[in-house]
Amino acid sequence: MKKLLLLISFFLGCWQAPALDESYPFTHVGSIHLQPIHDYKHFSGSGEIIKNSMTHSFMKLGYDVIENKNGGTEIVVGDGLNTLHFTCIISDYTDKEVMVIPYYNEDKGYTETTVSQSTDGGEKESSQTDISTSTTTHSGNVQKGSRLEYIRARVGLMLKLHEPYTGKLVWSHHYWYSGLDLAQTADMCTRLALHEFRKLF
Amino acid sequence: MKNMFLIVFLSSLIFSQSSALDKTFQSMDNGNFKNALSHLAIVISNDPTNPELFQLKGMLYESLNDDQNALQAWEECKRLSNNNSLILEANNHIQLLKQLK
Repeated sequence: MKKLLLLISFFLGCWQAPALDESYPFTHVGSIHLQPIHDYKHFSGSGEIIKNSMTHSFMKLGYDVIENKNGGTEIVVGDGLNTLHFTCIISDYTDKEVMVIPYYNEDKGYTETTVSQSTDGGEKESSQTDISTSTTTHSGNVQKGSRLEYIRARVGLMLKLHEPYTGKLVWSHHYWYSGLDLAQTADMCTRLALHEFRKLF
Repeated sequence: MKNMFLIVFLSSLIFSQSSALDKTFQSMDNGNFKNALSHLAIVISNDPTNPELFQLKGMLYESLNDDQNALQAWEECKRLSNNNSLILEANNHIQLLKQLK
């Protein structure tokens, strides 16, 4: 049973592994052209935010980033002559995801002890004191409590690397990340995405 | 009288649970994540097997850039959850937080 659980968790861990063309010679690639990133639905400026976050992350990973006069962005990844195009689609960009927390109240029960004392007889010498103790245990139960809601941020990115002339797709991946602050979540999502990317070059 | 005390005591327990969670969210709304974490600790002590509470704890620690505690919270969330979507989310966070270490 333990082995089965381990196997399941292993597959869950690999669920989001990127798709990769293993026959493609990544060592021959010299630069990557970052394609324009469009805004997510009506979230104006989201494309620019993700693009800036990406270039920032590329720089932090040690790559040279060149922003051309015509608005294009080039990332230098090696000495090769080949070029790849890097496309990013924002699949999720919200700071209004409603999260529900169901919480439970555990009534652990209680024990009730009653001590009764009665004195019999009028004279001091012959008086008799009776003490009786009774204990009652009340069982507890777990009750489903209420649900409370909070709002959080969620960012999803779909990434693709392909050859510009043949259109051949050589790598693709989908990431999403959640957090309480949209800007931080976007930054974390980009970091996570580019860490996988780093395994290629 | 005794029963009355019991009712008051039990309802105060239930009230303190929801009120602590309310206070957690209030602190989050005010951007006071440290305070939110202290209220959340009370909620977790009453409901220690609720993965959604650890999910929130993980995100609060991440907002405070406390990667070590965030990682622990997400690992606990993953351990307690049997919801695939939540496990995947926890995996994403664990993966990134381990990279940041």
